[in-house]
Amino acid sequence: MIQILLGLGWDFGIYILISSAFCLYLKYLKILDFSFCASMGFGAFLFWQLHSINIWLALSISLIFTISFGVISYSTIFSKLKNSFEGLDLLFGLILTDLIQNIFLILFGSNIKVLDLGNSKVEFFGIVIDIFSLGYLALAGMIYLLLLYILNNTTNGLKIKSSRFELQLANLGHNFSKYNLLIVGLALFYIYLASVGIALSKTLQFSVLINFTIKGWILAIISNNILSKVLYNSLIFIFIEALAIYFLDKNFRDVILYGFIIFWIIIKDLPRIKLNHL
Amino acid sequence: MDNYQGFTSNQTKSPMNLYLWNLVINYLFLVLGSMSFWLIYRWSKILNFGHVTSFGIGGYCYAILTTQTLVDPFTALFLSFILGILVNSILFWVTKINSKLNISSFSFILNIFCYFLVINSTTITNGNLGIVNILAISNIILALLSLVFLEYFIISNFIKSQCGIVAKSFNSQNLLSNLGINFEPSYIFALAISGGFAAVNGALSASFIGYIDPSVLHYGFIFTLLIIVNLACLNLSQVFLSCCLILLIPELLRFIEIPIGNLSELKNIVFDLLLLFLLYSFFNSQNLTPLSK
Repeated sequence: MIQILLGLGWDFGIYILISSAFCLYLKYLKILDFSFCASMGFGAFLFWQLHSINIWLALSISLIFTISFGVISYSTIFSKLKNSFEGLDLLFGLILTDLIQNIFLILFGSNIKVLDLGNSKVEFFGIVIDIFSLGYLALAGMIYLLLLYILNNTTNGLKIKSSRFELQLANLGHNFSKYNLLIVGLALFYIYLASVGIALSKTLQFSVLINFTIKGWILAIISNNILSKVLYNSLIFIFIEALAIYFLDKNFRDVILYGFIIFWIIIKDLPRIKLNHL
Repeated sequence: MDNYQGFTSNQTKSPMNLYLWNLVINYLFLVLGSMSFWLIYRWSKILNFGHVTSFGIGGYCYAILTTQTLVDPFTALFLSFILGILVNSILFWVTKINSKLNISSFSFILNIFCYFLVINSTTITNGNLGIVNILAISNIILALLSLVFLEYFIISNFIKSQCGIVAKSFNSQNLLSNLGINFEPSYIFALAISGGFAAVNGALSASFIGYIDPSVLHYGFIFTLLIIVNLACLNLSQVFLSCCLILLIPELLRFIEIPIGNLSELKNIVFDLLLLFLLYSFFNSQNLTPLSK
C-alpha cells in the first residue's frame, strides 16, 4: 500500500498544480478555462520534442509557448466572457483544446511518446522509492505553499484576492487588469509545471492531458475553489485512488473512485448547512 | 423503406438517397436533443450535463429492455422517457439537499461516473453491443417527427406561461423567495421535460444505429449541443437553423479534397477554426458579452 502511495507521487503533484490553477481562475477570474488542456499540450509536447537537443532549451521554449498561448487566449477570448453565462467559457475552452489536439496530431503523430528518465529508483527499508517522483512532489508542494503565502501575506496577494470583487470595486476607480494578468500568469506557470510532470512520468497522449484536466477541475469543485483546501483534498483523492488500485480490478477503479467523489461532495457540506439553518 | 435491414439492402435506392435520408434523420435527432437542452441551458441558464446522462441512460434502458426482456420497443421508449425524468429529478433533489452544490459540477461528475459504470457493463446487451429489436426506419422517422413537433409545442407554450417566466430566473432564487414565489415546480418541470426528451432521443438513436456503447455518455455530445444552443440565443425557432448549420459544415468539408493526402485532422482544424470564428463574431455582433456591453 505504501509502495502504491509512493508510486502516485507524480499524480499527487500534478493534481495539486492543476487544481490550484483552476481554483485561481474560478475564484478570482470567475472563468472555467478548459483550454488549460491545450496549454498543457504546448508544455508537454514541446518539452518531449526538444528534450533530446537540450533539456534547458526544452524547458524554456515549452514555458514560453505555454504562457503565451494561455495569455493570448485569455486576453482575446476569456477576458470577454467574464461574468457571462455559465458554459460559454467551457465551450470556447473545448474548441481550443480540440483545435490544438488536432494540430499536434498532425505535427507529432499519434505514436507512443515516453521519456526515459534512467534508473531513479532507490530501495529504502524494502520499499522502492522513485527519487524524481518525490522531488517533483516536493517542488509542487513548495510552489503551492509559496502561492498561499503570497496571497495571504503580501500587498499584491491581497490585491489579487480582492480582484474577485472587480465589478463592485470598479465603481471606486480601482483597475484590476494588472492583477488579473498576474493571476493568469501564475495559473499558467502551474499548468506548465504540471505539463512537464506529465511529460516526464506518463505516456504522452492528449487523452492523458484531458484526463488530468478533468480530475484537476473536479478537485477544484470539491475544494469549493478555495486554494487552501486543495492540498488536503488532493491527499484524500490520491489515498482513495491508491486504495482502489490496491483492492480493485482495473476496470472498477474509476467507478469506485467517482462513486466515492459523488458521495463525498453530497455529504461534505451537509453538517455546515444544517448548522446554518439552526 | 420497410425496416432497417431493408433500408440498407434495397437495391433500388441510390447511395445518394440513402445519404440524404441519413442526413435528415440525423438532423431530426439533433433538433430533438437541442430543443430540450435549449430549455434548460439557454432559457433556465442551468448548464446540465445530466442531459448527456439522460441521453445515455435512455439508450441503455432501451437496449436492455428490448434485448433482455419481452418489452416491446414503444413501451421501452416510454420507460426510457420516465427514466430520463428521474435522472434530472434526482439531480434537482441532490442540489436541493446540499445547497452549496452547483448543479453543473455535480451533473458533470455524475456523467463521468455513469460513463465508467457502463464501460464495465459489456454484458448489458447479451454479450455484444448490438440491439436485436430494431424499430423500422419509417417508424423512427414518424416517431422523430411527432416528438419534434410535440417538444416544440410543449416548450414554446411553457416559456410563454407564468411557470416558464419563473424558470427563466434560476439565478435569482433568493429574489423569487423574497417575493413569495414558489420556483421549485417550474424548475422541476423544465428539468423533467429536458431529461425525458433527452432519454427518448438516446433510445431512438440507439435503435437507429443498431447498437449502444459508452461513447453515448461522452462529453462530446454536450459540446455539439452547446454550440447549437449558443448560436440559437433566446429564440427557440433558431435551434432548427443552428442545427442545420452544425450538421452541414462537416458534411461540406467532407467533399473538399486535400492535396497533401487524406488528413482528417486538417478538416477538424478547419471545422474548429470556423466554429471559433462563427461564435466569436456572433457574440461580438450581438453584444452579448458583458465587457462589450
